[in-house]
Amino acid sequence: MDMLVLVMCMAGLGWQFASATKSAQQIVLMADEARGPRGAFSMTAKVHDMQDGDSKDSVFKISSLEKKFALIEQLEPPRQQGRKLLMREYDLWMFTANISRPTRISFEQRLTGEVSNGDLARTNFAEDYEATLQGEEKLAGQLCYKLALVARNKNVTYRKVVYWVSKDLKFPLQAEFYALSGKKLKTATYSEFKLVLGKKRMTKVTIVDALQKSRSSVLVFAKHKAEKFDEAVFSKEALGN
Amino acid sequence: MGFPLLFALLLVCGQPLFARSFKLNYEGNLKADFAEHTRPPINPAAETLGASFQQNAAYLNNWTAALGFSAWNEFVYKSERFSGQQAARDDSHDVRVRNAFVQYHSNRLMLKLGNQQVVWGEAFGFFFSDIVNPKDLRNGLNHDFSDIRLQMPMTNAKFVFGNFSLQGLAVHRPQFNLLPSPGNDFAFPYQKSLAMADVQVAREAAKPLSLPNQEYGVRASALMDGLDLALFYFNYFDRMPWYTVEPHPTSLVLQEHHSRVNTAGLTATQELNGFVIRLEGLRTAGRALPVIVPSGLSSVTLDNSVYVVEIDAPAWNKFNFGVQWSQDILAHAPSGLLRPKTDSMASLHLQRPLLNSHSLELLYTYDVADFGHRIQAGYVVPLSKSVESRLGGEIYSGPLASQFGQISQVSRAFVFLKYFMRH
Repeated sequence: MDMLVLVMCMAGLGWQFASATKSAQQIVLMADEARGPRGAFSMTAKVHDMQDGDSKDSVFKISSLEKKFALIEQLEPPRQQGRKLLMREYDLWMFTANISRPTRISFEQRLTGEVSNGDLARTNFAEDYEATLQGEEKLAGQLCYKLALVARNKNVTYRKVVYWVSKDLKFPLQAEFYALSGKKLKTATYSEFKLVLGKKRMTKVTIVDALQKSRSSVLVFAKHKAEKFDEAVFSKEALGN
Repeated sequence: MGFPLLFALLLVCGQPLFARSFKLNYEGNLKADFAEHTRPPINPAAETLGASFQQNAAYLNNWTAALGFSAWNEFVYKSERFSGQQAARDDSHDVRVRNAFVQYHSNRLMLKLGNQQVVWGEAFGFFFSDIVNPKDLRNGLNHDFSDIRLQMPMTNAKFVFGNFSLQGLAVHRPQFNLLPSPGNDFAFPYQKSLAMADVQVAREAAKPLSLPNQEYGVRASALMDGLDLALFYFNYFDRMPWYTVEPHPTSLVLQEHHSRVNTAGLTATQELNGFVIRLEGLRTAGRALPVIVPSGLSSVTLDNSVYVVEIDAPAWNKFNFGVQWSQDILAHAPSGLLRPKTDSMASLHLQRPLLNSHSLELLYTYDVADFGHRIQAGYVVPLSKSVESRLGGEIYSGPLASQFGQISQVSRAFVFLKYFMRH
């Protein structure tokens, strides 16, 4: 009988644990929706990089399909026009006009300023990370869920993310990104939630280097547009054409 | 010029015929390259001015077209120092039609007809599997690869099925590498090797347009669980020449010839924990290579294999770097061959972004077979949103008989300016 009670208690604890994990995952899924829509859409990202008093601006056009495929084309400055980044699930290629050939690259490689390739190309935290609810905290006056996200596979941009999601609206507010060594790499702050393709979503991200606070990048997303893309648009073989 | 003119007509007049609406844009650049030799005698190595321009038209019913030209002038080879040398005549200027194609693009099919470049391969910094288009090697390798490649008229069809693709290629008028002429900084030391004071090279620039001269290629690629794999086969005229000696009263005239070869190859790339691993392997059958014989110059037909292994490491302290190992192996090495049986190269490439959007680039190559070195270093400084400058140096060194050592006098410091135009 004692054994039966023990087994039932264990099962109950297991269920509790499973349900907490599931709800943490649902929070991340809802926050992902507030970071960017699913389906087929395009938008622009204006990136303002600041580094030790110096600054530069870049503009990218992002085309995305179901958060699995993305094509990022650099529009500004003119000397970098024609640079493209293609993501197919966990694979990433860079195309530059001077080489005229797609080159396989990694998500963690730097795109501009503090922005890694994966920061623009891959925004699907719910699929990439296993979430655990760490508790609740107040951030910028808002009560938030604090979540620990651990990479589900080795192909994602970061090994660990600590993520703050507002409790009431399930908006992402802040994320800290960590390397495999446990070293904190950078902090992203999400803001300016606006009505975008039928739902309130963030339109601004500020990324600050963890060690050198004078290094930061501000990304402003605009011109969101629902599109009809075929998967073939996101083919490596179509990249140079 | 017949095809480009017809094409230009199509580009302008075809718009109302083919499309309900269309979009035009252009891209181009102006270039200036100044270099000074760093080994005695210290004198100008390059004073090049160049321009390229391309008009693109996109028709909303899946058709696009492009027409581009480029031109450059190398003033150093026009100077008194090069008077009477072949380089002064053949390597001092160039005017060329670049891209000139029409393209149909649907979800699964891409069909491109006209002057174009097709790029195969994965490895960094060299042209191992990049065998389709000939290269203009008259100004060395320290330039954009898309500028070095020479576009050719071809039909290029590509079918894409999710993670798989199949490409078929027909080159209608094969063209060949433009090698540095005698007198050019980068030229093979003809005079020394052939013990002749005056050597001239008669180029074979292209094969005539005919059915037997057509070239064919096919390439299949697949992306499987992160492994990017491609297999290709190309039946073509070798882009590198072999020579015969032509009778001439005052000089030794080497006539270029290009023989038909078959290349089969494989490329593969995989990302592992932030490391990107690239592999290339090629086998070419029937390559004719020049050999020195007592009576002058002859050729020998050999098969050769090339393999390349490259590892790009994850960024460390904002340094991006990679290492590469390559071997070019001949089936055997008859005496008089102008290259070793096995040519092995080790390379390191490094890039680091610096303050104010500056960046540092370095490519170091060591020829294991003959102990030669090549260093290409550049410091990139954007001067505005549209202007980029590159300051740096190219150093060639090694034993006198080595591939890089024999052109050590080419070593130079350079300033390169590029103005980008796009609309």
